[in-house]
Amino acid sequence: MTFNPDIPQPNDDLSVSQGDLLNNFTDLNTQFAINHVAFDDAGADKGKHKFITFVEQAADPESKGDEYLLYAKDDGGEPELYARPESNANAYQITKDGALFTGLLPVVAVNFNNTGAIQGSSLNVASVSRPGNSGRYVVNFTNALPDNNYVWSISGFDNANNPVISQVTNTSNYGSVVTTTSLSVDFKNQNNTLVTGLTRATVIVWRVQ
Amino acid sequence: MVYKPAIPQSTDFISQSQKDMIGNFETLSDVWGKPNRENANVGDHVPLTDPKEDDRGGHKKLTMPEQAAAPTTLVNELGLYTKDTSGSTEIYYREESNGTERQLTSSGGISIGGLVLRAFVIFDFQGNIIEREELDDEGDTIKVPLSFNVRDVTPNQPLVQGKNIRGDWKINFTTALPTDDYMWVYQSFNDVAFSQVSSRTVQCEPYHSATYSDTVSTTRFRAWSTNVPRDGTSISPIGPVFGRLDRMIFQAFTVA
Repeated sequence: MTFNPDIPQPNDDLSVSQGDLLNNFTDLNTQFAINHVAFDDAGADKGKHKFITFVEQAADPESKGDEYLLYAKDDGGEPELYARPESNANAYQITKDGALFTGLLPVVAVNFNNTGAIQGSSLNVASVSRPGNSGRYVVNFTNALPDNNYVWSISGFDNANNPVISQVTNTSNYGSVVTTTSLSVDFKNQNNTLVTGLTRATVIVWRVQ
Repeated sequence: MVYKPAIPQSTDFISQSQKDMIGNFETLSDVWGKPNRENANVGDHVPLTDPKEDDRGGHKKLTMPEQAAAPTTLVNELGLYTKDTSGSTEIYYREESNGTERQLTSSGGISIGGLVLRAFVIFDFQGNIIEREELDDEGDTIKVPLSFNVRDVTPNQPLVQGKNIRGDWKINFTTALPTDDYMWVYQSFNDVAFSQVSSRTVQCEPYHSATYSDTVSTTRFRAWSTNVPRDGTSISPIGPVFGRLDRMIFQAFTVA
């Protein structure tokens, strides 16, 4: 039965109130336990949140002074998390398409050594190949990116006494070295020669969300 | 008192029911949320008896004990919860209709698309962390350092007359990074009118004449800026750039 906030009434018979009260106490416990550790839980966590289910809101809720709101709203057909600062300030989006929404999303990241072996954990990198056995490497993505208009950061480290100039391979056209499935990168010394003793390098690729 | 969801029963005496009901109301009130001054982490909500009526029904905070599995989400719903990840409690969310689980935090950092920013800093040639001025709640001007998880930046070469003259710094982290296999971004802006760098390009990189662990570690990063001639000729000896770069920026990332 649904929770009834209007019981007991002054003219209710005790036998009626008993059923109404029993229903309300049971329903309160049941509804509270959907997102919370239940009122009648024996442990110390009762009252805390098991999880939070955000049901889509049709519009940004109002926020008063000294409040901060967190809620879900439709964005392109699916609910995303939004926040609104105090006093009805502008709401902003927190999640988008499976990630936090920061405007720029990392989609590839890797730290690799001289042979192209990936060091530690990587993000969306299947392998790093080394065509020519020199300072040219190709970072191969696990999942293709939607297009090749992305942002990159490349930096190499060579423990020999040489500067390492890190850049996208510039011996071909853009579409040949910056692709949806790979990125070709060069590490050169100050004499514009590909280095052979690269110790480590990092590559990160971002996409506009 | 333990909350009793199955009271009052039809066979209960009214005196028993009165005790059960007041017990339930007291437990409801406590578990829902205690006043802040009691400082017990019992109940996440504004107390039912809070003197600010407008605040009632709201949350004080969210405490989320770990869940063994992702909660169910229906259409037009989004779930937020915590789960064990390699021994740590991390925040996740789940997309609608029992969609994909997404990890939001990792080892004390925010995971954005699977990458966690562990440190960043903007500093000048002397190693001073650049500060931004802004007004606090009282309208007073305060200075906010443009850094995150960076304790300080220290010149790595001896000072000359109290000044740093070489582009060689240690960026020291406040809290150690979880691994030294992190990804870094290090770049600089140099004043083109400054004669000692005007005919050269300043190359920014990890300090190269050392082992990886001497240069890139969980507690610091040795940043090095060196001269590179624009015509492809050699500069000998190769050393850190002399002079005054205006700004250096550094970021460190790990995979979540």
